Amino acid sequence: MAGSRREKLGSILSRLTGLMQSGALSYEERPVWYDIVKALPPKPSPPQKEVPNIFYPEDFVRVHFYEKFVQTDPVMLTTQIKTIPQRFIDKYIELHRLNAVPTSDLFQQTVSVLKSEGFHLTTHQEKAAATAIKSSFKQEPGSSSEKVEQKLKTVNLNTLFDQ
Amino acid sequence: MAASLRKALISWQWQNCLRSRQVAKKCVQNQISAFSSCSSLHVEVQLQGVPQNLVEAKGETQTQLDIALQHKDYFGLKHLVTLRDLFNARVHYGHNAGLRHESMTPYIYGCRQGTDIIDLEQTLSLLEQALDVCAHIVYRGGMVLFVCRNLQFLPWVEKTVRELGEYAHCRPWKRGIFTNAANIFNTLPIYPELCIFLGTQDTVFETHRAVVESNKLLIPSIGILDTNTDCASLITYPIPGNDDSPESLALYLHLFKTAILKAKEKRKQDGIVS
Amino acid sequence: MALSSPLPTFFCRPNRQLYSRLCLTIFPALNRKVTTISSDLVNGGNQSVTKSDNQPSAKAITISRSMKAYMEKVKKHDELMKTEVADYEIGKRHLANIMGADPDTFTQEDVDRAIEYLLPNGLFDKKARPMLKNPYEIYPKRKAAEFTFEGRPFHWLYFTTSPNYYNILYDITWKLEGLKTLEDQLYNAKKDISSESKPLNIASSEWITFDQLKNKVLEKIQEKDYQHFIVMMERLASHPLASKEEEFIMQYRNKLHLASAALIAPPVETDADGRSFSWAEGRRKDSWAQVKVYKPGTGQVTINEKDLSYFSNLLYRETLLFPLSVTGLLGQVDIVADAKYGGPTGQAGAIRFALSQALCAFVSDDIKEQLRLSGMLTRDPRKRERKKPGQEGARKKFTWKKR
Repeated sequence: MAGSRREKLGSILSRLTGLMQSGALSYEERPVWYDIVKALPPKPSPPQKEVPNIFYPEDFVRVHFYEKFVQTDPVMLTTQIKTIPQRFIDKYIELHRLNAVPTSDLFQQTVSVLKSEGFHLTTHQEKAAATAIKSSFKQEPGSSSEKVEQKLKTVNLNTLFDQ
Repeated sequence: MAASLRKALISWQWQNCLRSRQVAKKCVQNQISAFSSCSSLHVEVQLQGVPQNLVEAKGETQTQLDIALQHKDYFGLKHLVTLRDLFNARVHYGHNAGLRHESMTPYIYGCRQGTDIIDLEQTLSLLEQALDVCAHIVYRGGMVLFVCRNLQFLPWVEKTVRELGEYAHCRPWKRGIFTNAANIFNTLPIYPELCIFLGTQDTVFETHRAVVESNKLLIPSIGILDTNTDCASLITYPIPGNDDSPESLALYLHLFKTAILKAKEKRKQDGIVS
Repeated sequence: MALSSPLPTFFCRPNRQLYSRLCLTIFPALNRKVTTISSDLVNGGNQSVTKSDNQPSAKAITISRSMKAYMEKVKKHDELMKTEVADYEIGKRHLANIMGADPDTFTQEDVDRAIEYLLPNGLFDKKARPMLKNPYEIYPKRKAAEFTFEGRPFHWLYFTTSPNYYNILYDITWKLEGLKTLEDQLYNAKKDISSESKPLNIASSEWITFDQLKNKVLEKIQEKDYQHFIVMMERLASHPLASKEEEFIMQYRNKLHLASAALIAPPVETDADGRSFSWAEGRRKDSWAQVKVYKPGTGQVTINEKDLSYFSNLLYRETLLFPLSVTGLLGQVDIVADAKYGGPTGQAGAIRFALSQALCAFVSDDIKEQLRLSGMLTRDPRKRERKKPGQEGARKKFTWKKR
């Protein structure tokens, strides 16, 4: 190995040691780093492995939430206001920690707690219905407009002014 | 074929390391007081629990340099950086999982939503060792060459290096600066004693030529390896970490600067003049 | 380095001496710290101590192999120069004797003159003509050693191979960063940037050329490096606060020779009432005009003892006032003009030309240059072209039908 410029064989320490063993380089002529690298040898790299995906418990709650509900409130990056999904997850984990509710009912329980706190959770069906009503409202401005408008307005009033 | 061979080699190295660790543990248990100087030092690093008095050079009179080298933390660099510092500096952010190089998988903690997260515990211990090595080389009067090809950080790297009185190469690498130095510089060649790569990529697609050249010329190297680097085996002291964000680069620069300044100060105190 | 491929050391074992030599060619890094010598060797003393210790020894001057090689090279060069200088001195004395002058007081100028006399030469290129000069002027200049005795380069960018060039780029970058920071500070303090510094006047100079830059850095740089340098410099110079770094920028600019500086402005005189004035004559076409400019004034214009209404066409009035608007003296000077001969176009042009020249007495060089660039200080040479015989006019032909 000594004398080779093949950089992929061995390490610099092994190659230099080889040079010294063969007598090409005397011990006195060794470079500055030799003692240091010998005393503090590089740690061998651990074997390669499969890289796992990172998941948190809240990820599963979040998926569960979005399966049923949609997020209707705006996400504000500049303020500390929590979004409804975040509140839901926090409440879910809190209830789970209290261990008072069986796991199968945990989701329903969280929904009811949030509703009792005054938050409106919009399901996919509600959203679809609202958009449908909205589009029909646009087509026929005269028909039962007041009621529809009232309903649309109440959808998010609570959450909007909550904070 | 080659890949499987390399894998086998790596796993063999790993097992070897484990074995040496066990041997060292046994040594401590048996209270063996003297090792041969070389292997004892080797073991000392593998196993941090070895007491200082066990490590003793055989026969030779110890010089100041030896004493410094046998000291566990001669320059006081062990607690210079914490895991939280690394985290705050965003060192754990790797690249997109699609850019991952398989040689970097041991240093990756996991993949979060398509982004690789680097294992900061490994980074921390490797970084501490690298800083120690860097300080020791400077302590013995070695030259340090900082290499960084990220144009965003170029002025900062150069500024820091200039203040340190060390050497920087952040410009396009002329082929053969190490391997053909005699012709390029028109003198007998001069080489640094240590290359520090603050990013091992030259362009987005290429490994920096200096990585290969320093390895050919037997110059030890310290390198920040992001998850997409393919030259982990060519870097003597690899440090897995994010090399693309200004915060992490500022942290690396600060750490190496502190280590080098401490080493130079010690050098002055101990009266070591080359 | 002849050996770039891996050595066949696996297969044959070369003898020890050859082997060690091979290793030295391949791993010169290992040679860096070789001998420890006493300090008097540095001053050219004899090699007294050669010590090889187990550890790099403290408190002694170690000298790197690179420095040794460099010193040998320098020594060789010095010897060469010594003999060359001796030859030059002898040649000079011979030449003085030939010319019948005193060899001790014979100067380089005398040498040049003597050679021109003795060896007359018609070659165009002066470098091709015979010459006798001090060898130090003729031999190319050598860079001084770039590293210390320990083999540590002086320059922190040594390994880039162009330290001086890249140092300039580094300076530009940080000066620009400094200006940006300053600009931010001014902005935050709600101060006006234009009041803080005047815009940098770089119109009267241009960037140094590629060759000049090469001479400045004494390094092999490419055309693209020069382009990079220019781009960065342009960026620095175009910053609104660039005048703060005027000294630095002007190091890399050549001053342009101002054509207007050669123009002689008429003197400022004082009349019987104590008003300072200057006067000048101007011509255009067949017209002639003389203009007196009084400063300070109120903007009064008198042409042939009439006011501006001497010219009925607005175009002529505008022509006449143009130099005033260029110099920014509109309303600050009084003008008295006499115009003769020709028509209104010629007279207006003649007055304008005379007025511009007279105004030069009161304005700065920069404005004079602006006047020159806008064509105010140039005599319009166009004249009426004569009618040709056989033609209707100067160029126009008579109507002609073949049949």
